[in-house]
Amino acid sequence: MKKALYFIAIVLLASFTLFASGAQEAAPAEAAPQAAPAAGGVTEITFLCNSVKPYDTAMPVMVEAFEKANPDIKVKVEYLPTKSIYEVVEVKLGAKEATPDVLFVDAPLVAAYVNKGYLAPLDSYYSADELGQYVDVCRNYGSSGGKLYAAPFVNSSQVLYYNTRIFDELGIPRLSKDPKDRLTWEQVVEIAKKCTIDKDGDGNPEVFGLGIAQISRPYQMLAIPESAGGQPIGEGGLTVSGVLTDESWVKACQFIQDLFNTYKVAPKGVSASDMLAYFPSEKIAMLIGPDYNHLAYSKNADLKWDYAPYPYFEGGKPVTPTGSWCLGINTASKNKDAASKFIKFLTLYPGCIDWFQIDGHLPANKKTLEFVASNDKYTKWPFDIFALIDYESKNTAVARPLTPGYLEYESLLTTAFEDIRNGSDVKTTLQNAEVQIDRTLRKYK
Amino acid sequence: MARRQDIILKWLKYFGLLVFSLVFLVPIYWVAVSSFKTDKSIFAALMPFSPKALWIDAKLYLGAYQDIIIHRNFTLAIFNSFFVTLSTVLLGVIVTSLCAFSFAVFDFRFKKVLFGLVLVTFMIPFSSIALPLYQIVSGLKMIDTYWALILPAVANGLSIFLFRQFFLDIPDSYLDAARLDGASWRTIYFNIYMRMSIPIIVSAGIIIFMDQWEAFLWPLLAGRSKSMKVIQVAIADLSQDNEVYWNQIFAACSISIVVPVMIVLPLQKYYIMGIASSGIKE
Amino acid sequence: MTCSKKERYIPYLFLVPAFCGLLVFRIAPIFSSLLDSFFTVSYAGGAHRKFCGIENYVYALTDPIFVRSLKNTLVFTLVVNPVEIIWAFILALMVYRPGKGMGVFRTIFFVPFTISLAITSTIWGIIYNPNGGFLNSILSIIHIGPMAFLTSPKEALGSIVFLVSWRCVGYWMIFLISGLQNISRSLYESAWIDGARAHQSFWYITIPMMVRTFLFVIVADTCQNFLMFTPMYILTQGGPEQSTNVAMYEAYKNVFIYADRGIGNAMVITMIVMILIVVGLEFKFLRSKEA
Repeated sequence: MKKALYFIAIVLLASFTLFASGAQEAAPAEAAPQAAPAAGGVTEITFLCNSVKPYDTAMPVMVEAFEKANPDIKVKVEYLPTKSIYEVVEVKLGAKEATPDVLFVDAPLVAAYVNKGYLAPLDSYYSADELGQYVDVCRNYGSSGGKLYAAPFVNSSQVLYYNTRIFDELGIPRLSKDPKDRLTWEQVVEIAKKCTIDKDGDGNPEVFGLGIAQISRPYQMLAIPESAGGQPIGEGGLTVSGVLTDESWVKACQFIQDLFNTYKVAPKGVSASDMLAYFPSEKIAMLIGPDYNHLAYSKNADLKWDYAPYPYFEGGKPVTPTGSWCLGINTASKNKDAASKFIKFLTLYPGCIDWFQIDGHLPANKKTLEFVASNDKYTKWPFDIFALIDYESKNTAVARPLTPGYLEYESLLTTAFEDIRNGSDVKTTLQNAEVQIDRTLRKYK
Repeated sequence: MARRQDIILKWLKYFGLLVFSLVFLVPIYWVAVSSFKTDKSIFAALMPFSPKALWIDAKLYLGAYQDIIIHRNFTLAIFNSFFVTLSTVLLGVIVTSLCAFSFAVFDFRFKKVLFGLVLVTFMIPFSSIALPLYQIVSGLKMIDTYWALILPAVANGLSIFLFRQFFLDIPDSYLDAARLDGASWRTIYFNIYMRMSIPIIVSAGIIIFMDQWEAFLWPLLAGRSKSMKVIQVAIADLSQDNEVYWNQIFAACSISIVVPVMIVLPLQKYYIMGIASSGIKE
Repeated sequence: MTCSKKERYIPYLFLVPAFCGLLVFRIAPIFSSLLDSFFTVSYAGGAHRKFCGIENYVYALTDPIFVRSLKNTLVFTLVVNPVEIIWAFILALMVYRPGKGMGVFRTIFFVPFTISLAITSTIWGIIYNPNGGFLNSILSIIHIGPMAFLTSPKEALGSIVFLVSWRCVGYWMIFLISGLQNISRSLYESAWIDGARAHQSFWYITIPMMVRTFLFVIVADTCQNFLMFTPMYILTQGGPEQSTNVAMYEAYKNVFIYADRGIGNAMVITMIVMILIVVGLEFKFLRSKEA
């Protein structure tokens, strides 16, 4: 037995040392603080990127192109799912770590991050012309106090997707793509009721009439109360007192609750990530969702679909969600010059057009929008969707509210929306949300 | 009379064993079977539920496994988990048994206080000290290295506890005889106490192994980079995307389940023996 | 054994590696956490830390959400502990005797523990789907109406209790089996000779002899459950309607999402103090039963 123990111990120790030495090679590259490049040396910058499609396949292409054009800079990309990016940023930048150098920043978080001292100002790296390339609205939410802190990377809009096979079967006419003829929410419900099919009558419909993509997340849901005339936040972005309990919010949230509980045209208990998959697997007939899904759906040979403008409340105004990721530089980064080169490569002309062609998100750069407007490809279905979303982002888009406490606001509001979806009393939920959000925002006053 | 009671009890026991086995095994079986199906097939059989969910499809779909191994670097995650876990077990068994040896064999000042300290730390799991721990580990420049994942888990309170219990049970006569023979403490520790503690080493090893293999929150914070990801974090990442590939998650889960089962199954006898002989007295 | 004068340092030598680890990776963070809990962060124009005494504790303990989460934690622990231990004990009683196939059953019952809590939560999340999911469909066969599971404030916590128990009973069962196997057969035999029946020897021999094992299992289980929040983090994010918001999750949110480190750490320290009290009470109670 003793011999066996010795043997096992030696094997483990040997493999341990072997791997440890291997790990040591790998580790310093990640853990060692970035030093300024010696003359002729290679600078390595770390880039915290979202792992959601299509970033995981599109980004390596851009990185390769960048490294070719800049042989003295290497980009190390870390892919993380959305929720994790927020956590990792809090942890790493909160601990003043030097990496990541470049990071994905969700548009409404810019104010919060600037406040906490996470982001470095970018103005000094840009000429006035270059700054002017960014779509104004996008540049605004990447700025704080007049200075640019995060370069707009992609933008977004939303449309109503619908399954044309189901529509045809039920004899429902195709929907108009003209924004002036957009459906009201009330009309959407009527159609959804027809499309909710429960063949075997067991109380569980096989097909639901309506789905909402990023269900319960403020990015998705704020447009609904706003369409009824509500505000997303109170004065100065530091309070929500009276805002969430306003009539418009109550009406909108009651409507949301009814979708899931009274009319039962939308499925409960389905997460945001599953909702997206429900549309191509034909479990929902209509989907309110982000514009870039059109790429995935158009590649799906089994799915017959079309799109229509985002709905609004009768008597209210049309409002669409917007805003997406920006790119920022870590204040503690030791490679800000290299980082800024990378950011400019991705977000300015001509890189932005290359990016758009592999990525397909609504552009945040005016030059890319010009490119789309002048390119034949975008006059044909389904790429003619760009005409619609361009219109929306210029006319009906409302960005998420700017508040230093955006993360808290978003987290508490998501819980409130989810509770409303599950059937809890609308007024009480909104009242509680108001109290809670105000509490967490007080530290910014 | 007694006999009839016995027979009823016996049948009750077999019935109970069967029911519980189903309760424990069916979800796992479903996960394993689903890992060989396409997502479409999984959900077709799920909502609404049909017994098809529990059968293997006529055509075995290996795409899920291919995807995670080829595209998602899962083999790296498996290797990472193995490396971190085995290192922790090796270091952990040594460090905790040394510590327990001291508590069991010697009398010294502050013994009670120090042991109390060990017990207290046993009650504090990582999740509650995650952020300050992160700052300390970051200060030591160990974030995103194997050390960050291994070192904090080495001093496992439960392991110290088990070793101490067992060592206390070893008759003093061994100790006295060895001291009389002039044996060094190192010899006493290794040749006598540790040699007699094989079942405990196995138990403590299994406990440390399980703890590390399934650790989730700490690696989530401290071992985020691609090259450092362990299995549990890799699986969590699979389910956070906008599109969730359930069959890939199931494939990853299946792999993650198979490993500890293959280790614990054969060692089960020693595992129980180890804990039993430590006598859980306190 | 006390050491001779020149060997005085030897016991401490053996302790060094373990205590280095404990000090650096367990005790130091707790102190750091304690320290942090006395500071507050204000972000009005750049971040500054300000000493604020026990203000964070006052805030936390008067925060209706945190108080509710403490209640949830207590309810959770008070339910999941007996469920797990009784279930584990029933399993242990069925398989502790050496016999054909008992090893197989022991392994079967232990297998769920080899699955991490995070994965178990993910898997059960699908099983609990309210729209004709796995469990609902099986229940409908025996005519139990569709349950809402994780989407109902009344059922959510119970659903989590069940999935946690499902995963952990195997682990506790092993400890209880060891305890049962340690009871000498001769005790039962002499009782039998004296005319005791099965249930009598159960209550008068088995249970008293198991008190120490139960004490250990209850204490260890309490520690595990009191601070557990992984299933809530993955499945319900504290909802629906705060019903699964346990204290540790609230603390986590305060530190990692709301960036309110002072308050989050105050919550953590409160939890640690509470668990020390609870464990202390469990000790006292069961020790007195040891007779």
